[in-house]
Amino acid sequence: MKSIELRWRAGCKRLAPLVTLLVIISGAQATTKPRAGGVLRVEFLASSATLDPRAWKTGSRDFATNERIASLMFDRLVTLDNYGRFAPQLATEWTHDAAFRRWQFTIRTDAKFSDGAPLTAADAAAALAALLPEDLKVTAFGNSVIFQSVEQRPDLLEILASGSYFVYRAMLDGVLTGTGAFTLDDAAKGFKPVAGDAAANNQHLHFSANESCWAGRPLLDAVDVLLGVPPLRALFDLQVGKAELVELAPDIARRATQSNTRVWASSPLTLYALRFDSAQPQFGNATLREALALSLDRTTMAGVLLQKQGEPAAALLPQWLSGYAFLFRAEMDIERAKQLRASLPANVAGGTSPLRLQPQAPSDLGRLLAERVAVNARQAGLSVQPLLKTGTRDGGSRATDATDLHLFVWRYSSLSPGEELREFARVELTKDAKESNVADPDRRYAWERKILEERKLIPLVALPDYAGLAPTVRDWQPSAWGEWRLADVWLEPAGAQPAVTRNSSPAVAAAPGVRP
Amino acid sequence: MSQLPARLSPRIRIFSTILFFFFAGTAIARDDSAEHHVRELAHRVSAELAKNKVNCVNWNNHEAVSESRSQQWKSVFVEELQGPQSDSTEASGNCSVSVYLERTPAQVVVTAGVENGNGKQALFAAIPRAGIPTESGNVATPRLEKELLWQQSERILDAIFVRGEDGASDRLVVLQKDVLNVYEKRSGSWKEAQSKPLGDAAARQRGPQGELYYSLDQPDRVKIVLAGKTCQASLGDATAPSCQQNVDVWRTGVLLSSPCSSQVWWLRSDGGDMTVPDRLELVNPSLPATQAPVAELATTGPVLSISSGEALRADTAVVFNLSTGNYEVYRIALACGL
Repeated sequence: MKSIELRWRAGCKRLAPLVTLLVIISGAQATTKPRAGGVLRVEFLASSATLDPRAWKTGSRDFATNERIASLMFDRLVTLDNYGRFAPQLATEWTHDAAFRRWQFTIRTDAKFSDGAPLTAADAAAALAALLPEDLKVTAFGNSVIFQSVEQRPDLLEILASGSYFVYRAMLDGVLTGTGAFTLDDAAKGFKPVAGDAAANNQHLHFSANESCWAGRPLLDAVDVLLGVPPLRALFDLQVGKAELVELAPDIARRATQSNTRVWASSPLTLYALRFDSAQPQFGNATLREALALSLDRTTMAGVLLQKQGEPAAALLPQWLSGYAFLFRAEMDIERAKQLRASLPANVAGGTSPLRLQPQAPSDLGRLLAERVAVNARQAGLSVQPLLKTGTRDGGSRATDATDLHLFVWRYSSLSPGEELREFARVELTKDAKESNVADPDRRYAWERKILEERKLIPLVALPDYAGLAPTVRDWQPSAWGEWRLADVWLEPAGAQPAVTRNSSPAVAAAPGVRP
Repeated sequence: MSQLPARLSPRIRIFSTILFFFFAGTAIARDDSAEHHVRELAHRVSAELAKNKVNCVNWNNHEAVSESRSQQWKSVFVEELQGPQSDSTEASGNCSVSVYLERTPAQVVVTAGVENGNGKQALFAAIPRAGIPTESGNVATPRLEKELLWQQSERILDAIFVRGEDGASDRLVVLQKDVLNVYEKRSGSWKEAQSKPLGDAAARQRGPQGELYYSLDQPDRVKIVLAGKTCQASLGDATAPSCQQNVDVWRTGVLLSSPCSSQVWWLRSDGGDMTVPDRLELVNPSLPATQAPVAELATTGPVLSISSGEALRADTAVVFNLSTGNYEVYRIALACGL
């Protein structure tokens, strides 16, 4: 046995030059190494963007565009990977006390802002202090930032890994700088990410690779962002090679999939729901609210109106975020709705005079959903009149005097279900937003259930985000909750991308937690 | 015995008290294991049911964890709920307790639906996903075989498994972007023997690359190739790697020998990007690169490197597991009979 071993080793040594030679000369294809270079052209539907996280409106549809563009320039303290693990970003380590009321994060020492100034704990604390909820205080202490709160915050990592919680530095002229993979090249465009600025209307934003990024230079040389692209043109630009990554409207996403375009879909991120106006008398009529809620056919809304690009929603938080949304049921019960309607006086709103329904945004989808609500309500004997001429753009706006019902849109942005629900209630319900310890799933579920049972808010449908990708885009590894993560993307030269075709499913509908 | 001045005693007492409460607050030993959360939930369910007898538990795992993990938790739950002597669980039916496992971005949410005299009630446990140990699937093919040697969440650029000769321990050399770790197998498990920071040579770019080269002629050394640099590192002592500028030439595969014949094969991966699983392919090195492979082995994700530390008897592959997010090191060998 020993001699066999020795012969083996001797043979192997003789083979060593051959090994070396073959390693060098072999033309066999091996692991594909990322290629540096190239400009990624990205198109957004939104016509404007605001890069200052302090100016973002929680729940608004613009939040996603702002966040995706800002994430090119700014980093967070921590990030959450697709496997449920928190990873260091600008914080290298963190600890908390047993009660989760005091957290300490050590700040990375090798990160610099794009103007060359080193990142300090004071910078991080100053940036985050302007963004955090009132009860959460942050201070700098040496090379650390310390978060303290009265209530338990076991979900602080989820909070800091999402939403607007970027670290930036506001310079004297109001320009914000970041430590991220790209820097905004604003000289030629006259655009600066000024605090509170809602600029960038229908224009290009050009981001260049940050050569001194602490995480390494991105593989792309630049990202060119075009805002305000109409939905059909975005798809066309993708198909003719004028863009590599485009935001797709839900109805266009379906068309893109049918034409074999590479389409990505997130988990459901945008909720459409009804809200009774608190200034109107119908707000206090529980029977009317229940009758309307029971008349709604969400399955048809998702299956027919949205052509299966969305899903019925019975909860305020989506299943992928809360993990318990399946406990809420919202089946249509038209007979019960009729009974409830019959028990109401004839002259109640919805009877002789219609309930006036105002869609928040004047979109096709908003109009279609409002009309469907009116049709469903009529089946229960309720009269609903969609007001389709005028609309309020803003997610948190209150009612006009003439509106009984609002069809509003809520874009989820936090990875903490407790924080998301708290913000949701703060914006849409105001007076009920005082619930504490919502990080505890038992309390959060009880609170959400209470809100839903009151039927002042009635969820309708939830839609994912969609994006179309050119075949040349490689290492596209977005999160199911909508982060695009462009810093790790690279571009294959056109005509050299056979490996991507192995991704057999063009629609990557990543939806963790979605029930079969 | 010395005594402290009496006038300082109250201050010291106060200070000691503050210290005690501080450390008591921070150093409480918490059982954060998933099983603890499941057991605690079962305990709460048991309290809710009070005197009502649990006829069965309806257990539903919606792809939140692996089936084996789910069954493990189910056993813990049932044992806590009814005691180990009971065996009244069923997969379906009208059970008074229904449990659902759901996955969210950061947690696995365990929901227990309880039916007692007061109607239905839901109780919850939220288990951090990061705290749940990962499991590896087992994929087998008739010719190429793989054996999982190591896994970690930190990115691995390359790894080499070196079989111990003459009673020496097996070694596993793992290259990360900023450190070279050497592990030795002792009493059946890997123990860290050396950890050598790469200092200025550390890979700093996105998608970092690095390779290890090992030769039987120098069994205590490895060559490290990083972007623009080549380093020599000793495996047997704590000396720092010595590096110099170099032009990087990346290898495209390695040779692999059949234990049953003199045939030597070329082992490569089919090369996708980081989003798609690769296949390890075995091809004849004397034929063109476009030839069809004679054997294939599915992997759990993209293959990041293939290297050889056993002189053709077996190779080492680093794979990014797309299911778990871990970097895994496999020993790849040919099954006899090829």
